[in-house]
Amino acid sequence: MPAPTIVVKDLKKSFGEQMVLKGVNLTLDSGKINFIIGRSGGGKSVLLKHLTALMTPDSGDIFYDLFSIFRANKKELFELRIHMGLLFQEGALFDSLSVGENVSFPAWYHRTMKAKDIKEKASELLKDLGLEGSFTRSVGELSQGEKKRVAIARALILEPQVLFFDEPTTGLDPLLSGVVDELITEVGKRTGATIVVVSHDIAATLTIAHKINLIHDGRVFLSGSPEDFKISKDEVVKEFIFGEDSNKAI
Amino acid sequence: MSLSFITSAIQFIGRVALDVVSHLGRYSILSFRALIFCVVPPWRVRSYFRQMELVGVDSLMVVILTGLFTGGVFTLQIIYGFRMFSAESMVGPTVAMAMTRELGPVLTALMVTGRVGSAMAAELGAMKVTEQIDALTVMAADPVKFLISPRIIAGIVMLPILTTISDAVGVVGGYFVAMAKGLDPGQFAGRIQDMLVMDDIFVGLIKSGVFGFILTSVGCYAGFFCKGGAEGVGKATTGAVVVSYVAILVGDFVMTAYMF
Repeated sequence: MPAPTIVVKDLKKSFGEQMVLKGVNLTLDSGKINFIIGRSGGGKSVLLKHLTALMTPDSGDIFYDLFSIFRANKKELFELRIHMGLLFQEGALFDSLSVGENVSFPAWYHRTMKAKDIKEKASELLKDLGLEGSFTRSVGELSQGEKKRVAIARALILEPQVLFFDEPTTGLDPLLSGVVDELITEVGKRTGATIVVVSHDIAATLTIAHKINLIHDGRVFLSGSPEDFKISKDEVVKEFIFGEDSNKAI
Repeated sequence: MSLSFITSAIQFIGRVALDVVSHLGRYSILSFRALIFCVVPPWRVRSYFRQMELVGVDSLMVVILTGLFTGGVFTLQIIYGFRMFSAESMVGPTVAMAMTRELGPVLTALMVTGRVGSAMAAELGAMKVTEQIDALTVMAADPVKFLISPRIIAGIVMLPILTTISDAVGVVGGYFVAMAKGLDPGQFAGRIQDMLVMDDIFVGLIKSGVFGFILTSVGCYAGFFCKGGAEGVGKATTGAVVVSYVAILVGDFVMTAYMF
């Protein structure tokens, strides 16, 4: 499956009386790093759960190229998810498995490779992410930053064509945040995957994004390149990008 | 009594009824899917054996102790009554029948619920709140097939085995107490062979298989649909144990009424 373009059409979602997504329309470009930014509680994570078909909308649709994920049958969704990787905000690693088993899990579960090749690939990914020799370590022994890197390795083992990152740098120190940002860029270049990053990290957004989508009040307020955001005169954009002091970038 | 009070009461009853029906519906669908997945390849045999170890092997000690002392205390209680009627020779068969028909299956199930059912609810609940179950879904690994089917099968397979051990140990416990109370070995064991029939044992084992299904499916359901953070996991765990206990006792009554 080639890296798809993802199109979100008029997506609406309510929880009780509260309407979180009020008609989201956006396009996530194939093979590019697409950022989704916005205030806390603004519906970014809900949108991400819809993009990965973990939630179903009240109305609207999401297309991977021409393929609707909400009209797909179980087999089609299964095929799509084989090519999908998601880094959860807290890593969502399996506590009962070792680091190596966590990274190997998708390949082991889907039996895409021989056991020896899975181990080799998992070790290689861990090495690339600075976790050489951690294969047999318990997940409980890892720091927050190490957990994120293990989760990234797990997301990459099946060489997905769509990669989602939910707040990849939250809780990391600036040095490690930089490492993760570099990693996202490198993965994008190496795999050619469509990358979608939900983030609060404005510095990273303006540095590594190819395209930024600002969610405000349940809708996409502005969609464009980092340059478009930097030169925008709109108060909402300026407030979000530059904070209260609109003369100084965060 | 005001009209608003009556309306509120009816609303409350309606809400509770809807809630119960909703839970039963979701529980039934989850259990049905888990059982169907047991016969659909590919099978992760390692997961099944791992769960059998957790449910069976790791519960062995608590089941042995429970069986031993239950058989012992039951003998202690009945021996006085039976002596009044010079019916000491009935002590052995009574202990054996009580253990195989009721005490073995029910107490084993209750002990395993406390140890394993609660652990399943807590483990799956923690996986739910830390998004590990969502992670499985996104990796195209069906969480029901991967997490719940092995647990339910482990319960159905291991409970009868544990119950057999509990039955045997219970009779041995009764034997030692009877000896300590002055009965001779022949008096205790002699009539067990005559009075205990294979149906007593089989029915007890069927019951324990059903209890194994109840305690694992209820534990998995509570954890799988757990909401909230640590508090939600705590509530799910407590709920799983309480519901399993009640369901086991009610199920025991119903099965006993129909099987004997």
